[in-house]
Amino acid sequence: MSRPADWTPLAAADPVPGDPVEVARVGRRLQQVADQISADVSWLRSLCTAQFWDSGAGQAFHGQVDDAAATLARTYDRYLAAALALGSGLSGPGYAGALERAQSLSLRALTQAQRAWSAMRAQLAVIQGPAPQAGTPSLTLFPALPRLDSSGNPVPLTAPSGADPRLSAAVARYNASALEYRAANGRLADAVAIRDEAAARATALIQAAIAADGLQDQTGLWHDITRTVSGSPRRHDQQQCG
Amino acid sequence: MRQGGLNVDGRLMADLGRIWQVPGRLSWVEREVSDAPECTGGDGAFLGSGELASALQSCVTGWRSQREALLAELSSVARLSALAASSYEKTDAQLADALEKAMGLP
Repeated sequence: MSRPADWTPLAAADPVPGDPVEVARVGRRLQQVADQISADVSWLRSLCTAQFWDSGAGQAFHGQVDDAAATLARTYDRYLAAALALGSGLSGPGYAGALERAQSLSLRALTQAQRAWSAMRAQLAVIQGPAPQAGTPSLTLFPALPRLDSSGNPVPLTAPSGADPRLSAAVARYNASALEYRAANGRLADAVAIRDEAAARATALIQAAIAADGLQDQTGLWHDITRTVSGSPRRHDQQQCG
Repeated sequence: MRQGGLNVDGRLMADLGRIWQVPGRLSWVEREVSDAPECTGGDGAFLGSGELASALQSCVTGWRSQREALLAELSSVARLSALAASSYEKTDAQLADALEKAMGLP
């Protein structure tokens, strides 16, 4: 689903970007790879039973197949973690579902904020009265546009004491809309928080898998030096064993 | 012959059908693991989170050294499987031929 391009007055750009449908598609793809890896590991290991390899040459081949199966098994956890982190559907527990919910909430916030903003501007026009003639400065105490505080919420207006009842009513309506805008702003903050928390959870899940499987490339100065000296990439276990 | 395999001299056993399947069976996973960046869809902008995009990118592409080692292992297993199956078939045919001659079978 395409997102609105205009997020004013709530934000300068889409505060919850992303495509949950695509996230779920990639999640399913990663799950498919993980499933296939798991099946291949089982299949390779079943190939290596003594029943099928009851000879000296067969035993040597057995070792080769078993090594490949062991390495392949380690990649399974990595792909599975990434698949679970992203999720495979919009209603599931993964990031795709959370992003979908956050985007849906942010859209409701935008609609509510735009409605409130429009109402505030209409009330300001009433409060301002007829436009001053050219060259004549406005004498009104009220701004032409809703004024926002540092949190992005409209600053409430106060009618002067003894003001015209119509002005007081317009200020009251303005303030009611300002409250609605504030609620929309809060709803958007909730949406962003849902996305941020889900992204942090997914990131942590993936990073934990990366840290645990021992497959990740070594980086850093010492690794670069040893890599240059050795002239070729080396396996982690070889590097760790010296 | 037992369970679809060869039993030579009561010692050497192999399921040729399964051995022949090894190269084809491993080619899919080899391709998927090699094309990992393709799998995750480019720069990860669809995720809407730079931190998550970076983690995912690292997950699928950040094990280049070990991936190359794994692909080499899988390739070796596939090559040896084909060689083993071919050798077993050849051995079986030679043995059958020798036995037939020794037993005076037509």
